Amino acid sequence: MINKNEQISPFLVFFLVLKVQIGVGVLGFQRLIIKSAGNDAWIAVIAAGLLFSIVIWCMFTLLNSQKQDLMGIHTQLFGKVLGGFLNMIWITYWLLMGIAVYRAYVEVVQAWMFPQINVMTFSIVFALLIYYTVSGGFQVLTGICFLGVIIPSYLILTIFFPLEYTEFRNLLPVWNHSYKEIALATRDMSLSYMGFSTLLMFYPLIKHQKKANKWAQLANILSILSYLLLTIVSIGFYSENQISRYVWATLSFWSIVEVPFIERFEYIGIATWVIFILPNICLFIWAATKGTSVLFKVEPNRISILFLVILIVMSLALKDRETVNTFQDYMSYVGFILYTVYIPILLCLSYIMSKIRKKTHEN
Amino acid sequence: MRIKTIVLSSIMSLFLSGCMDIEPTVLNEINIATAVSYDYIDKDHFTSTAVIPYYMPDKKVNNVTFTATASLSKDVRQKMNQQTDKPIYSGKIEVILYSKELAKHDLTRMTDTLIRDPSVGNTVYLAIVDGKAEDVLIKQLGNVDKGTYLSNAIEHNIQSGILPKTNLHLFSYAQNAEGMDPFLPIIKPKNGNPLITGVALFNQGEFVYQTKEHENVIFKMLVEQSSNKEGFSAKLGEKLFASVYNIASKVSYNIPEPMTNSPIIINLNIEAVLREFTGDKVDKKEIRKIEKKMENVLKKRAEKLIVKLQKLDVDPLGVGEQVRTRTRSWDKKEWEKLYPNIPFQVNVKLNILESGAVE
Repeated sequence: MINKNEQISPFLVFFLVLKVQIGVGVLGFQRLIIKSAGNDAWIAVIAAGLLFSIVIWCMFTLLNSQKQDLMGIHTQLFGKVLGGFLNMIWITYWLLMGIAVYRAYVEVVQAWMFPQINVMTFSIVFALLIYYTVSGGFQVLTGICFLGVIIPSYLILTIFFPLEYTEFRNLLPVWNHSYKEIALATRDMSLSYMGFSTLLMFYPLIKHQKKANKWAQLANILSILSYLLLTIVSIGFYSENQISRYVWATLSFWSIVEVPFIERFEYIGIATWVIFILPNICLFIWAATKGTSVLFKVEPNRISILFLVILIVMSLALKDRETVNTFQDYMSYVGFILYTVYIPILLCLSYIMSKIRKKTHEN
Repeated sequence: MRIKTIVLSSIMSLFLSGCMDIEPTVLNEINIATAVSYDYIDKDHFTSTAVIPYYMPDKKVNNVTFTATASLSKDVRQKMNQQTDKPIYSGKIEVILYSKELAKHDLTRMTDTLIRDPSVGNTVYLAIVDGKAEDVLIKQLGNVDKGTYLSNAIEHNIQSGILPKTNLHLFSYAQNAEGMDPFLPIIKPKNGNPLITGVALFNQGEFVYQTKEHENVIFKMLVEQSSNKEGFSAKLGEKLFASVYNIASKVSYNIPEPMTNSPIIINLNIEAVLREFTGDKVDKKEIRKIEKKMENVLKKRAEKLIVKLQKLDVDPLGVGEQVRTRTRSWDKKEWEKLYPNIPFQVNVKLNILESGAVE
C-alpha cells in the first residue's frame, strides 16, 4: 500500500495539470491554428479545451472506479501479456513526450540565443537536474511543478506590451471558416493541452482522490483562458500571412517589449522558460520510470538514468528543424488518439467488465 | 551517499557549463552598430554603411562609419568585419535606412533578413532616404550616437508630429495583410542634417509615392487615432487664416454595403485648440464659422488624398482591412479590382475646444 506521507493534497493536482498543459507549446502554437482557422482560431482554442475537459472527466471516472493507476488497470483488464504490451505503449509515449518537449526547448535556445550551443553538454547538465528531481520522489516533483507555475507567472504581464499594436477588428467577421477548418485547428490545438496523462500514473498518490477532479478541471479552465488570451492578442497583433511566417509567435511578442533597463526581453523570457519546462519533462520521465519499474520490477533510479541517456542521445539525433517538426507532428497525432479515442474506449471496457464481473459474482 | 551525489552533480554542472560553446560577447570586445543604411548600386548589389559609436574617455561619442558593397546584407557584415578592429553585432540597431532608389526595387528582400534574424528587435525604425542614404549617417550631430539621434527624431515625430506609428513590425504587418499597404517615414539629408519630410507609400514592397507637406497631417489623421501637438492651418478667405493645434483626432469607417461600388464613408472627429487667427474678435459665432470652414478644407484635402491613393492603387489607410473584416469569405482579387473606383465620402467634424488665452 502507498505510504500516507508520500501522498499529496488534492489541490496540488491543480499545479500538476496546469504545468503540463502550459509548456513549450505556448511559444508557438498560434501559427498552426491560425493557418487553418484564421481569425476564428480562438473558437478552436475553446473547443479543444472543452474536449479535454471531457477527457479529464473520463480519466477520473475510470480511475475512481478502479482505484489504481493505469498499469494496474491494464493488467487487470487485459491480463499480464496484453496489458504489459499496452503499458509499454504508454511508457514509450511518455518518454518520447519528454524528449519532444526538451528538444523543442533546445531548438528555441539555438534559434534565438546561442546558435552554436553544444547540445551535448547542455543536455548532460539538464539531465542531471532532471535526475535530481525524479529521484527525489513525487513530492519533490510536485514542489517543482508548484514553483514552475508560480515563478514564471510574471510573464503574463508582458501581454500588455503588444496591446499597443493590436487591431481587434481582425477578429471579425466571427465564424468565417467552415466546420472542417475549425475542427482541423481544434486537433492542432489539442497538442498544447495534452500532457496531463501523467495523471494516470500519479493518481494513487493523491490523498482524497475524489476531490482532485475539481482541481484538474479548474486547471484546465485556467489553461483555456491563458491560451485564449494569447490567441486573441496574436490575431490582433499579426496579420494572417505574417503569423504564418513566425515559428514562435509568442517570442516575437517579446521582441516588442521595451523596458528602460532591458533592451531585449526575449532573452529573459527564454531563460525563465527553463523553469517552465523542467517540471514537464520531469513529470513525463517520472511517469515512464514509474511504469517501467512496476512492469519489470527494477529499481526506479536505474531506469531513470537509462531514460536520461536515451533523452540525451535522441536530442542529439534530432538535428534540424524539419526532423524535430515531423517528430512533434507524430507525437501530437499519437497523443490525440491516445487521449480522445483510447481513454474513452478504456473507460467503456472497464465499465462493461465491472458489470460482467458483478454478474458472475452474483451467479 | 545522497550528499555525495548532490556535491558531485553540482560540481559536474559547474564545469560542464563551461563547455557549452557559448560565444562570449563582452561589451568592450564587440562593435555595436546602431544604424545601418543601404544604397542602390545595380539590380543585385547595394552599398551598406553601418554607424558604430565609440565612447571616448572624455565622455565624447565618436560615430565611425564603415561601408561595404555586396548582394546580401549578411555578406555585407562580413565585408565590414574585414575593416574593423572588433566584430560588428546587430543587436542594438535602432534605425535602418534605405535609399529611395533601392525602395523602388522592392524592399521585401531587404526586410526578410531583419525578420529572420532574432537579434534584430521588432521595434526597429525603418526609414526611406530621399537621396543617398549614406549621407544621413556620415555627419556627426551633437554628442550622441547617430542611431539614437535618428530614432529619437523619428520617435518624437510619431508622438507629437506628423508621423503615424511605424516600425519593423508594423511594416511587416501591413505588407502581409491582405487589404493594406505599408508606409515608412521619409528623411531628406539637408547638409547632412536629417529632415523628416513625410511618409513614403508602398505597393507591397515597392516605393510608389512620397506625401507632400500639406498631406502629412491629414494622412496621419486618416491612418490612426492620433494626437498631434503641432497643428495645421487653413486659408479661410481673403487674408483670413486660422490655425489650430493640440489635435486629438479619431477616425471611424462606415461601410453600409461592403464589396460593392457604393460609397465608403469615413468619419473624422477632431478636437483642437485655436492657435492663430488673422480675423477680428473670436466669439462663439466666429468659432462656429471657423469650424465649418476648416471642416470643409479638411474634407477637401482628405478626399483629394484618397483619390490620389486610389489612382496610385495603394492602400496605406487599410481600407481593404476595414472591408475585409466586414465581409464573409472575402476575396482579395475582387477587392483589388473594386478599390480604384469606389467613391469615398469623408465627413469631418471639427470641435474647437478653446481659443487660447485671449478672446
